Amino acid sequence: MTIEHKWIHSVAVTLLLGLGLAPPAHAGGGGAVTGTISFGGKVAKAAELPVTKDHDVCGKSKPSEELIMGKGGGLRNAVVSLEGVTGGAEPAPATVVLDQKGCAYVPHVLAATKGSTLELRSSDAAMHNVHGKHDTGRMLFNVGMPVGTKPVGKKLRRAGLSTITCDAGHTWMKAYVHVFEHPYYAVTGTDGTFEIRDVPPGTYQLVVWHEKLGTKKAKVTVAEGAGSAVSIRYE
Amino acid sequence: MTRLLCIAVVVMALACAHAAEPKLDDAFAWSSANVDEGRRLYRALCAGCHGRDGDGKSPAAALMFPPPRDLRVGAYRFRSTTDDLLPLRSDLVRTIERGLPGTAMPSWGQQLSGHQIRSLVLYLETLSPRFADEPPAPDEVLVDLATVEPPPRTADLLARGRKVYERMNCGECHGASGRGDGPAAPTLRNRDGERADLFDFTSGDYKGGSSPAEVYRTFMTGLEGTPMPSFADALPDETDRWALVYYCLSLGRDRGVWFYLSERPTWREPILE
Repeated sequence: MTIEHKWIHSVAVTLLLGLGLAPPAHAGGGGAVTGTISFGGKVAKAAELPVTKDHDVCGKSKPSEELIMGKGGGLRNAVVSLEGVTGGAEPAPATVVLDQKGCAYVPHVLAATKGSTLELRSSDAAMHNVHGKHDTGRMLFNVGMPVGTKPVGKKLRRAGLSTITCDAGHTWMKAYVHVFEHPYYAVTGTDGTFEIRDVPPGTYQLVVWHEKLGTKKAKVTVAEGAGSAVSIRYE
Repeated sequence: MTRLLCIAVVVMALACAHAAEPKLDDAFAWSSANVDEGRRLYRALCAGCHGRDGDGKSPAAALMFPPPRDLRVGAYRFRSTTDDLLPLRSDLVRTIERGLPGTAMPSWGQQLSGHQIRSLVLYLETLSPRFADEPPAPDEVLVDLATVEPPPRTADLLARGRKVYERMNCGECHGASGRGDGPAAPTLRNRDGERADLFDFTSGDYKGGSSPAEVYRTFMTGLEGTPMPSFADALPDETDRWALVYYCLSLGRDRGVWFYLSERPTWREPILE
């Protein structure tokens, strides 16, 4: 999506939300669940994370990514998902990329369907290892990536939340990977908006996760041929 | 005193030498009928350190570093598989038979029959729900110790190994000289938060076994629950892999009882001429 498209899209969503109208339905009988996740509370600006080694590659410090807001408090990197959807399309595993760039993970938060391949890349001239740990405490993988390692694909076999860290002295590096058994999820963009497409008609639990602000839930109903708009604000 | 120590070392050495070759008992039926025997053995021999319920909490555990594992987690370090896969039964048999050098875990290959060790493995499998929930995946074995064949050790390979050690940044954690004192070492923690026991290559006693094939396996699979990653992807070249194995082993030459006994064959000669 180009910047212009993103802009038009966010304006459209805002207009629709303002009018209390849901966006048009997609093919397949249901519609899209769209909306904005935002934060209205006050926070002190997060301190920069000090870089303690490999300054030529990593820089002097890294910006904290744990709370990133756009205009109107739109919250980036929130993960929105629907629970209890049945009868929709089969989940389609794909390849998602996690890059290591300037000793930070790009993206900081990502979501994927179970069975997808997580492609680990390193664009850095520094030693990294990519250590994935599942919320249950178990290890997912731990891949050594010295300089020049070609991209490594890892199958995401387990649903749930995992964290990714680097043991090679880059203590500030952290990423989150959410794996779902269904395709009904989205990660919010820079303005806090999201869109979950092709949701079959029904009433579902919408779950929002944010790394710092925690989890929020709401009921959403998708009617035959109509979408649903939801906005959730953390305070 | 010194003489006493020497005698103790020799006695231990002989015991280890005998235990070096795992006894295979192919006739063992992996039937749940043997779980009771495994439980009885566990309570008698293992619970003293690993705790009655396998949680790793026992009065003796307080005196041990590294501490006994919580066997209820179902995560094992020394295995033929990698990532989030369970170990093979043969991996667990091997660890019990040979013990873990440098830790309190002794080798049981002398005291127990192949049948008893396998019964113990069956019982261990009941301690973690993982074994019931996740079917074993023998086709996902990364390094099969039964078939892996180390190439002959050559001076070329050793010289190449030193370069691979540098290229793989092993020194980042293990230090330039392999003593476990790399710049990242102070920051390293294991899964349970304990400080990571960075391996000192000069000690020569690899917990996962000190034969070239076993060291190769550890480098390929990584060590579950520790910062040690798998280098299988970073080192696609088979020659590079063995070069690193022989180089790291060369750092521990003439040290380590285990090293002496587990590998006495021809390749243990003066290393770099």
